[in-house]
Amino acid sequence: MGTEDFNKALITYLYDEMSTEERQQFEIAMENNPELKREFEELKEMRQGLAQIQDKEVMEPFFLWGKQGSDSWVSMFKRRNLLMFKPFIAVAASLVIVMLIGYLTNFTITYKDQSLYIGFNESSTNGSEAIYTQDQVAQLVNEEIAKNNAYIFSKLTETENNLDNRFASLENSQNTQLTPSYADADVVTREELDIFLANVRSNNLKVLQTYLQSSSVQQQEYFQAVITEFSDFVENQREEDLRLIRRSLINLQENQQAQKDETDQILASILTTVNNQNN
Amino acid sequence: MAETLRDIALYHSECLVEKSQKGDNHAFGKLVGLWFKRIYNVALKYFGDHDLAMEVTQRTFIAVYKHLDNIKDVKSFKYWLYKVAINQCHEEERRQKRKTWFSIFQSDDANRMEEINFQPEKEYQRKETEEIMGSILKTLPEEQKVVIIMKEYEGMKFREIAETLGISENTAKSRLYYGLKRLRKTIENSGLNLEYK
Repeated sequence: MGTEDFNKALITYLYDEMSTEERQQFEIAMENNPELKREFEELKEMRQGLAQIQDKEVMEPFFLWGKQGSDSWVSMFKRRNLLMFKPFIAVAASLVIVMLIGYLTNFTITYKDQSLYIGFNESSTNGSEAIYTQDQVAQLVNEEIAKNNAYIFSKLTETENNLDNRFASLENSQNTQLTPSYADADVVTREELDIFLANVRSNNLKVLQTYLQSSSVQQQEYFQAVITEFSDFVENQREEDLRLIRRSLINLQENQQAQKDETDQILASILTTVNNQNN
Repeated sequence: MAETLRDIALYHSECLVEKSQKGDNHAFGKLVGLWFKRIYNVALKYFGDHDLAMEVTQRTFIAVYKHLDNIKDVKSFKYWLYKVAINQCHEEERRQKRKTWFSIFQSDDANRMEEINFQPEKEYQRKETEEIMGSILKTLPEEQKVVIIMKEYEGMKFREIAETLGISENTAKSRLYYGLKRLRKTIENSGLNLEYK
């Protein structure tokens, strides 16, 4: 008998599964083999050690406890299986709801010309009012400048006309003042008259230059104010649109949550109904 | 008494399986009640953890419920049930290994193993003999551990173990022999002085 055969015989003897004849033969062999006997004692001792591990009492799950014989455990198993898929069902339902809402509201997200457009109803690429291209902004600025130039030109023309009128009236006034002295015209030399007129022209020129300078400064300030206001207008419009998009997304999220809660309630109701029917 | 409680339970199982196969959920409920404790204790000795044992036991009976029609010979229900339970134990152990693999921290079991291997004195001071034996039993290779549980705690014959696991009787005896030897070696290496000795 080989070592493996001895081992198997030892185990068979240890667990008392030998026939009477086999048992007697093995006991004789063990008496003549101290090593085999020692090994038997070791294994027997090991069994005593394993016997220290006792069975534990266990409470049967609630679906058996007190309701044995009912179908409650069946529904529990089914519910347990269903619950395993519940997260996947919830995710799938949420996706369907989101896609449905997106379809109904014509929700679009497009990426074009290095810009991301998010919006409802119309494609944002058709132009939200707040979004302008660089060319459109330049065109708007040019239009404003042209309008401003036309305004300045009209003001200058008006001022020139006024000055002409005032100069004419002043000249008339001087002529009128001079008229009584015509009799004494021979008293005023031609040279004195020229000096007087030159002074008048010089003064008028200074007034005109001062007016033009003042007007130019005012125009620059006005133009800067227009540009600033236009920039603020564009910025405000953009912020307003972003707020609108954020509010829409929050509404969408709230709708999704409500739909999810409703789906959970329906599933719970179905489970309760099935459970009651089984009971 | 001519029949042992185990025999009576087995006889009842056969009747209950037949009724369950015919769609009698009431009978299946009784069948679960009859075997719940046994399967739970098999799983408990396999894992040494109540929660895992309960999980495996429930999974076992779910699998039994699903595949009850596959039993052709109701007399073999007992072996089939143990086979399902052992398979569920193997699956659960694989799941636990995956969890441990992806976990940053080592599991409690791993920590307990370290204590047994490297700090036997502390382990002995902290635990009762039963807990230590249970912990050591858990460290055995699966195939040896299963045979020991079936033989030592379920009282199955070698023929029954062989039928349940689909192996020969000699293989079952060999696994049991080396399992017991390995247990003894682990205890000796740990320097434990258990009360039963």
